[in-house]
Amino acid sequence: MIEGLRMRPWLQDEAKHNPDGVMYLTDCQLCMQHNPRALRQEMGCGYEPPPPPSIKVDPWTPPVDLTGGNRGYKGPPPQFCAGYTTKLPEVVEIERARKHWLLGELRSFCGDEPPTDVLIAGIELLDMTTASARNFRASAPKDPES
Amino acid sequence: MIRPPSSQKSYDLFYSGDPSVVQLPEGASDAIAEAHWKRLEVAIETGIWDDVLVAGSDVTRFTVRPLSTEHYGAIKDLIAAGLGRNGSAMLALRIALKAVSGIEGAKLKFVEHEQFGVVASLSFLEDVGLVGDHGLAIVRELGLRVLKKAQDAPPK
Repeated sequence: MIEGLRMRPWLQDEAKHNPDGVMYLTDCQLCMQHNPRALRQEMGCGYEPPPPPSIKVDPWTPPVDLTGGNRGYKGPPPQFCAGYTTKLPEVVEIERARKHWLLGELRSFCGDEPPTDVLIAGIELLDMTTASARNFRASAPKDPES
Repeated sequence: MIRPPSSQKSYDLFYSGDPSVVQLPEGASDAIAEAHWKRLEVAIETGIWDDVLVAGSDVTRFTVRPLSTEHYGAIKDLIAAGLGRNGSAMLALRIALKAVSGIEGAKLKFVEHEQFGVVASLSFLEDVGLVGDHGLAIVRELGLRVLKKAQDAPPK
């Protein structure tokens, strides 16, 4: 779940600005139709067992700052494909909860029970990651053709 | 409707040895076994059980709530003090369990626990004949899943 929360804002940002580059991450069914199992295992597909130890798992990673600056993804390298982890029910739930939290309506999202510590910690993590992804995009050089 | 995994609300679990869950054939190769366990893991993580259930069968659903950080911390303290794997799984399941459906004759009762307040009694397993190693296997598997979920939660 933590990995999904770390990846979701970055993947959403990439899907907005470079949809073709992440089309398999945003559509697992399409990925399964087009790509052989071995390739998906290399991509860290959460639906498949890990590949043999001789094969290095190389999932999609958000952009890092190649200039050595302080922009870009700074979390641990992902172990699984973000297409899988970002769609897990708890990650989607926390994103929905964050939208309510931003409006001061978390209690209404939670219903009868007060928000759990895990939900709040998840919202905080997602909010921090969302800010990082947004700042990175804001500081990225503009495409001259756009 | 199956309640998917949640950080806030109750969610459903199944036991991998349930007759309604597709079982690993005897003598299966390592590759087949690995794929089988992966399918179960995916079903648990995504809340989509269709791929692992025998068509037309009625699986037993254990409805649990997420462990609070206080409860998880208290169980960790008990483990550090010597509580074993089975004991910690049983305690986690008793704290988390809210309802059971799909077992004829099973009536879940709740009792007062001196440290954790009102918790589920697992006596319903005996009532329906799930005793000995079989009952323990159910408790261990489900309890460890509840604990693992608390362990994998984002840090406070």
